[in-house]
Amino acid sequence: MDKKHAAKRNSQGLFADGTGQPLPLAMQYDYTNFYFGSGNDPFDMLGPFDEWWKDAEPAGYYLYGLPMQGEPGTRVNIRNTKTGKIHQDLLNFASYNYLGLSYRPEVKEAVKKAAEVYGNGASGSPILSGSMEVHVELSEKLARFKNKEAVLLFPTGYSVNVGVIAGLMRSGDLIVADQYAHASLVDGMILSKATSRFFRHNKVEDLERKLKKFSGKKLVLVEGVYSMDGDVAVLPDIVDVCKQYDARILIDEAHSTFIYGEHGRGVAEHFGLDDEIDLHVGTFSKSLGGQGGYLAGSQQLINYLRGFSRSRFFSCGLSPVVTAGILRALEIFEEEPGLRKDLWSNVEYMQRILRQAGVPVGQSESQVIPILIQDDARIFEIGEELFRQGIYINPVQYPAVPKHKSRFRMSISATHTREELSEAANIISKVLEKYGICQNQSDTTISKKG
Amino acid sequence: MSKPVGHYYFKEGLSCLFEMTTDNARQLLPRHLQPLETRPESSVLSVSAFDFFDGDAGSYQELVLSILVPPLIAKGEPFPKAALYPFIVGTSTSLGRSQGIERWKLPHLMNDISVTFSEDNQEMCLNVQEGDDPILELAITAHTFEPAELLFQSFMSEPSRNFKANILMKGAGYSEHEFERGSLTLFEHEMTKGLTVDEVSARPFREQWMRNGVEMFYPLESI
Repeated sequence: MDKKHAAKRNSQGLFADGTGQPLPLAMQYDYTNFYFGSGNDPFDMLGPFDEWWKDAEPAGYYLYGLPMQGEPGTRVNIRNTKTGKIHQDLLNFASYNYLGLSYRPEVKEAVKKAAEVYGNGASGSPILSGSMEVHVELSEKLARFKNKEAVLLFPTGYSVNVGVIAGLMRSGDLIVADQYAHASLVDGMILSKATSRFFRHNKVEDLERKLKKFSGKKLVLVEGVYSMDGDVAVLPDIVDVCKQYDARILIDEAHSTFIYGEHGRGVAEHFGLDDEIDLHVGTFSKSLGGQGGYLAGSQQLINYLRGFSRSRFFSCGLSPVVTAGILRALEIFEEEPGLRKDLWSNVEYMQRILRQAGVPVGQSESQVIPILIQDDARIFEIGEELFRQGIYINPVQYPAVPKHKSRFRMSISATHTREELSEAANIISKVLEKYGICQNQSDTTISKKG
Repeated sequence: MSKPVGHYYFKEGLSCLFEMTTDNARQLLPRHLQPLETRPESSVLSVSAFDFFDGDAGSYQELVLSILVPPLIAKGEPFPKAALYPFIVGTSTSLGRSQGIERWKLPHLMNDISVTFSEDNQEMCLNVQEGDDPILELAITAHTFEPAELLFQSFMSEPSRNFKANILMKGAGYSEHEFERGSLTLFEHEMTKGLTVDEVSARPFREQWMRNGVEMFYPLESI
């Protein structure tokens, strides 16, 4: 971007950060500024976007998608694409490998054996040639675990929501989603062509307002644990309202299955509402450390959606190798209830020491902990500092979260040690103190023993 | 851009953005404009109010109800913060009204309104009325104020012609946040009759507050 151009922009859209310093040009714009373009060629937007990207990438956007050099354990090596340097042994709070199952030796062994039997991919749609015996085994085992009649597997968690919602709902129906609903739920709404509405996050009175005027088919979409704030759906109240207005409920338990509930079935089980929820959606990429997703429900529901979920039958089936790994991870989960205890112990510990250190963590009640920065201009600078200090954690900013609600999203694992958690909390609180985000509540360093 | 040709100096310039249905937004727009959709079928109502103390129309207060639309961007032109279609404007003086109609082709309520600003502890409450008839009540809260210059696009229509104007807002203090602390109450009135009131969110998702500034209009361009 040349100086003349930069000067012209500066005179008509100068933003300053919280200290009064002018923002770099890269921070004066974001992705939303390039959503619309002029001209008649769809490629007309590429040039202006690229011009911004050339500034934005080194200014901080390079922090997204840094290549990990090995498995997503509690300590990782990451290549800094700006400098080329490989940062060793970073404390990893970016991966949602909540139970540490993706790299368990037993899981790796199952993957290797499956590769010998099946090769790599499924080489076909699941309704044609892409269904293997290992898929049937996983579906049946998962249905038993979820205490549902049947399960339908999908190649990704994203495709579950798109396929299920668009497979069930039609133009003229009503879908009401929590305002923080994941993009996959929103895209399912768009594809379904049903009337789409959103209720304010966890505000049941607003949900009721949206439901009460509509007399046709209704579906309400909520999540068990919300992936940016780490808080839990107010499910009992939501279920009450849905019953009152004859609305079906879909709960996306991507971040809550294998974590919440007496048996780990999710937030619905946690509230004793498993049977009140009509569609249970989840993924294999978080707690089970694999890939793919599922819908659990009645046999009738599964039979119907097997025929109408386009995102499933127009995709290749889930890789049999990954499926075998997921199956073994599910077995380990059931064999080792201590994993969840370890996770919750770590969550409780980390939430406590971060709050004690004055680190703002919002309303999180779960293993997803947002470290609230609320300084959109400096989130990347702070992220780079954390990276240099040995913490691998991802910045999240507008438009993924509202303006002035930038954060780092922290994922706690059952396999983090107390020493690792204490070390991370110390580094985070000191960096945030340096940037005036928090004032340390005490002068003492957080004990590594916890 | 050419030079601004209209200057309106204000003590307070407030704007809150509220979700409304896309269907409703579309009904209020001329055919050549589409509503911005922040989410599927969810568009944006902007409620803005100004306390002008000097400038081309002197001292008066103004309420502007607008729909956010995609900006019209030409290569090499500056990028606006937002683009709006004001579907109704109310002013407290006939001079303010005549300026708005004749110079800027903005649709107006033809009677005077009153806009009362009351500030208390970083919150500003507005009461807007036409005589004894309430139009709306708005509460806006502040975050932190910094100097700012913001470019907006405004679209206007006549029966046979459409226009666009760049508007530069420059203020000694500007606060913007998305903490959803403000509120809106709409009453049945000529100014709100186009709105499906119970589908307009009562809480703003964005609160924008500029103090001690100037609103500069650039010449109208036919589009």
